[in-house]
Amino acid sequence: VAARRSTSRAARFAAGSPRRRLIAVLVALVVFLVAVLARVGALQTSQGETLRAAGARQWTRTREIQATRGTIFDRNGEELAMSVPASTVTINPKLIEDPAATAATLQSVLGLTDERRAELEQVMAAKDRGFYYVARQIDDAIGEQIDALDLVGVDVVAEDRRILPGGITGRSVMGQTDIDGVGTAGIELQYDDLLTGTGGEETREVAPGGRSIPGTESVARAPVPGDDLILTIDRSIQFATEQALIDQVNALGARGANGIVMDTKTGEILAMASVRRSSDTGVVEVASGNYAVVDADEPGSVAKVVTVAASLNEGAITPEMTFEVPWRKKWYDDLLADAEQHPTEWWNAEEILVRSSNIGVMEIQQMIGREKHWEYMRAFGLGEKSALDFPGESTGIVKDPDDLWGSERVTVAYGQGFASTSIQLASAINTIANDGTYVAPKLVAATVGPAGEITQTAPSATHEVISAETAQLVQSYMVQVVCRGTAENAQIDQFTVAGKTGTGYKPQANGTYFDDQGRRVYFSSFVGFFPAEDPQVTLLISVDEPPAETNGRFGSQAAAPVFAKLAPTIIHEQNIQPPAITHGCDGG
Amino acid sequence: VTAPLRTSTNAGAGPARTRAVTTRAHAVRTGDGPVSPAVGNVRPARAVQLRIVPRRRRAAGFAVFLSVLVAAVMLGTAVLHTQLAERQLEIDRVERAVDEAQQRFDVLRRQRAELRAPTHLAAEASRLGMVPSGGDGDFVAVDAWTMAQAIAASGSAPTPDDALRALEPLDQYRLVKQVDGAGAVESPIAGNDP
Repeated sequence: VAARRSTSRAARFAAGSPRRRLIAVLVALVVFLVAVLARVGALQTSQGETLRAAGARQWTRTREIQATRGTIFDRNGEELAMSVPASTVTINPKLIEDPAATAATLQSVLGLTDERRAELEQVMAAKDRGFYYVARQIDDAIGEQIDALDLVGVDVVAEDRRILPGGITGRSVMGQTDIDGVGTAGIELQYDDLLTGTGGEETREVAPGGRSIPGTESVARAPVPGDDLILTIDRSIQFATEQALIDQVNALGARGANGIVMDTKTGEILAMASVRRSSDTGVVEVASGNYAVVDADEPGSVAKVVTVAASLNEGAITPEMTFEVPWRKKWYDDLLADAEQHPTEWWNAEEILVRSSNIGVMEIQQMIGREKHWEYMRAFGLGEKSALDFPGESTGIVKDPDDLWGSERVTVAYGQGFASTSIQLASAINTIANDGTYVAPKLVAATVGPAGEITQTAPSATHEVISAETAQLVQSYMVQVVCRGTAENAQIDQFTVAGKTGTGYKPQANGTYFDDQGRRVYFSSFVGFFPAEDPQVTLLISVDEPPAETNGRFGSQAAAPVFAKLAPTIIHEQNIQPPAITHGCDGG
Repeated sequence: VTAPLRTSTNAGAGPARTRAVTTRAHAVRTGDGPVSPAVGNVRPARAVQLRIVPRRRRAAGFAVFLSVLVAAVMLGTAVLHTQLAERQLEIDRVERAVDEAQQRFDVLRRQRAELRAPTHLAAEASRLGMVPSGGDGDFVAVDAWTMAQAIAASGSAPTPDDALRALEPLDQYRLVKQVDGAGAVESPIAGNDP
């Protein structure tokens, strides 16, 4: 039986009986195909992405597409800072076959110096790197010329360039970006995330050897441009402010100056300017730093407004109350004096403010008390950063009442012994102009999204500091300061101006208010608003280090005239109409 | 009528299987009863000529139909692909045109911004010998009719075609950004269709 079975099995696979062999082959083929299909399935599914990516890496290159940085507009939609198309030329030294010829060609088109050409040639010959910048952010036309040459190993890519179309107008506020378009100062830094946008990706196929295959570029991920900012700045007013400051600093021979123009009701900053004299060239120009918010100085007599307003609001004094005011008096072992010698007089708060008496305002502070005075100073926004939160903004220095030492306890009443930034001081006086309500300063009015939609920023925060009645009373005092006091140089045609001058001392590195030559160093200012009957604009002018030996050191001479010079431009640009009833200096 | 029987034999030793080939006329209906095969001398009123369609011809017909169908589908696909390619070319051309227009817009926007900058205006005014008014100048009222005549003579009166030019820089910029950002185009010009 076994033999028959064996014979039968042999017969089944013998020649001439192919059926079973065919079945066997078929089964083998099916098994093989199933295995192949399984492998293909695995490659396409579980390992698909990895393998596709690995394959793509071999024949494609990915390049980041820079998102267009947002534009910064002024309040009227004029460009203050914008990005424009430009080209950047790079090389891959490893691909360059003729360094000398390539370097010479680039030199002729780009106008490179011989030293730069030699440096390029050296880099190309070394072939130790695959990427090198030749020139960044050059004009597009030149970039196109180089691209048309089709030089091996030379690439021309689009890279935006940041420009200020108005030159350096507003540079202090705008700040700047670095060569990579990253904000490094000012608004550019503060709103860098918003302005930057989201970069995209471009892929291109490369041939063996690394050369790009023309026409294979495709955008894998489109860049999303950054949002645009609409500032509250008015470019024309900004320019006029800067020019007025430059003229005055040149005329006085001062070190620098700041100017702030603020919308009284909204707190919107219409202009914020800082100019400085270059220590190298002596030329006065718009500063790269925003010293109006970064630097803090003793405000001098402008601070008397805060002391008087606080005392009136608290009921510590009344408008009719008079004080005995000698020209000098001893406080805490220090003999303190008014700016000018005068006989002992009995003055009320208005007269003390008009004559800017240090002695008188210290007497007023005695009525309200140091602690309460300190509370009001803080409520006026002194001693803390403003709502601008500008990069590098100073908090100023307002010591706690218990930390005040010696005569500091009383000199803070007239602006000595504490420090404030120009924006703090402007906002504090603006509180008086705004009928006692502090309104936070504001620089950004709106943003423009990727689809062109405008989003307004929130209105400035406000809080009441003093009553409207008290504020209007102090306004009337400040009108008199301009009409018959220390700020007569701030008067303008057809409008009644209210304001206060200040002449502060600048502490020196030697711990005194005197420089190494024994001269006082001054910081003079004027803060005013108009029309006094319905204030619409508050304007601060401060002059840094006017010469000590001239009358130009006083706020009345250094700062008030700039106010008067600038006001007509502001009136014109803001279309401010004179009030129907103008009190003027005669009708006050 | 019963069709002839075709007999097939299995290769093995199994029983023979038969399959009846029938026609539509293979049965007659008698009264209300069930259909029963025609038997005896019952004949149909008219003889029906029946024939068996060769399977090969049916297959050939199907093959022809299939070929035509495949050819039609291929032709359709080719036409579709051609149209897609044409559309893509058109899209590429339009996208290039948009890119070029965008770049031109950026360049012109820069030029305008520089020309309108106060620094430039002040420099040009000085070059032309202009000086600040000093704040004591008088404004002269212009008669409306005179102004209208001047506008008409200079041809500078705005027309609907000039609407975009009449927009402020920010509005123009936003309009272009709307297009570029694939947002719905909303013209800021009142009464002007986008």
